[in-house]
Amino acid sequence: MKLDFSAARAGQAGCPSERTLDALHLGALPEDERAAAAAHVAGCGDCAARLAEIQQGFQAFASLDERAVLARIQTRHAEAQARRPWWRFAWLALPVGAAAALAVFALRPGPVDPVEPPGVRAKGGAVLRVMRQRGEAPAEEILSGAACQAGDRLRFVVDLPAAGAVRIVARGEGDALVPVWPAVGAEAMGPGRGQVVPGAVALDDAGGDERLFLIHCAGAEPACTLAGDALTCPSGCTSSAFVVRRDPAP
Amino acid sequence: MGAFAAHEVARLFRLHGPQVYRRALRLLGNPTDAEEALQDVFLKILDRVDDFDDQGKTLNWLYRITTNHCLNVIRGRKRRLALSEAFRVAPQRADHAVAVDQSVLRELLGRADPREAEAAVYVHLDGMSYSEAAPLLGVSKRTVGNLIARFDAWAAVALGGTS
Ligand SMILES: [Zn+2]
Repeated sequence: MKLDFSAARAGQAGCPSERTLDALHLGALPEDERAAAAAHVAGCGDCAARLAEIQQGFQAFASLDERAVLARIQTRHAEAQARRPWWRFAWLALPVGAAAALAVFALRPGPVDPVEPPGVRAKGGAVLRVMRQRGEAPAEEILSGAACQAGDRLRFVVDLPAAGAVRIVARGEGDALVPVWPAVGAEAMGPGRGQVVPGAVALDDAGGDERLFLIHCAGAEPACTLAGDALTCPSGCTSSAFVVRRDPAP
Repeated sequence: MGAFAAHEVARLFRLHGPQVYRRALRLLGNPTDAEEALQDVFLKILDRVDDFDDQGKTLNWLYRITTNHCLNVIRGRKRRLALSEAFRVAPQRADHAVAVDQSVLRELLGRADPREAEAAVYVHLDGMSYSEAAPLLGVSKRTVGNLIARFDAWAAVALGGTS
């Protein structure tokens, strides 16, 4: 039996996706895609209606009381802030754009090196590197097991032997793997050394060490499991562990 | 991260809230569940607000977080329609494609492999091309095609047994 999903999708076959129309509305499309999408919408009644609905924002949904929903979100957010988050890394709000973020960290990633040809370097696995910034001092690379303190900011740099799906995870309660970056799923990255991961984490004052893993999978999904200190991943994946030790502040 | 200012929460809500709600409505199929999802997704957004950088990436991030949240809601639903209730198909010639609507797709998404379900949301529900869906799934365009092929084959078997 052959299935036809076209009745389920937004718009007709050949029409822009929901995401494309959302991006068009937000002004987030590259110029060539923007022009193509705008031209389609101009000539397609369906998509003109879809875009008009997106542009109306909450007004398109008469039954939704947006003020009540916002108030509820703000209350729940405040309650969650009052409790200590179980998540022991606190994410930093960074200025917009990678250049600004790098200025904050006084960290110069340099150009991404091409991967050396096979044979030059025997080890082919992905490597997780960690840059630490303490106070206003310049960022420095630390080794796994190095002592860190609450308030230290950590950024991640990865060396990848090949293109693939990348995740950074931390060991959570009961050997659960908790995403550190990206927030959900995995990020597709190309090969190369010294690739700086966007964002940073600040170490909070929870006790204990943090065990981080970089998972890199070429052709497989980065669905790994943790038992004790051992990470088990599908074939086609490599991983790199990093321990952040917490020392009490002096 | 410290407390996030209330006015900033309101600004993000006005900017991205309609998009999250609209999507949750499509994925979940009813306003009550969609409104709850809007709250839950927004709280997740506020926890990870530093992932917001340029708008293109923010959009992809919102799509992923909303998709995965709604898929979890669908999977957790107590009362599910039997596929035979949701989908009644007249006997078809082997070469004739059978139309699957949103409510049947939703039932399928709740039962499918999670990765394949996520891919199916982007391609079958949102109408993305494989290359548009690839960065959201963190895989190559070809892998998106493989995920969709596996989903479609599984769905045909799941639905075929009920006709
Ligand atoms: Zn159209």
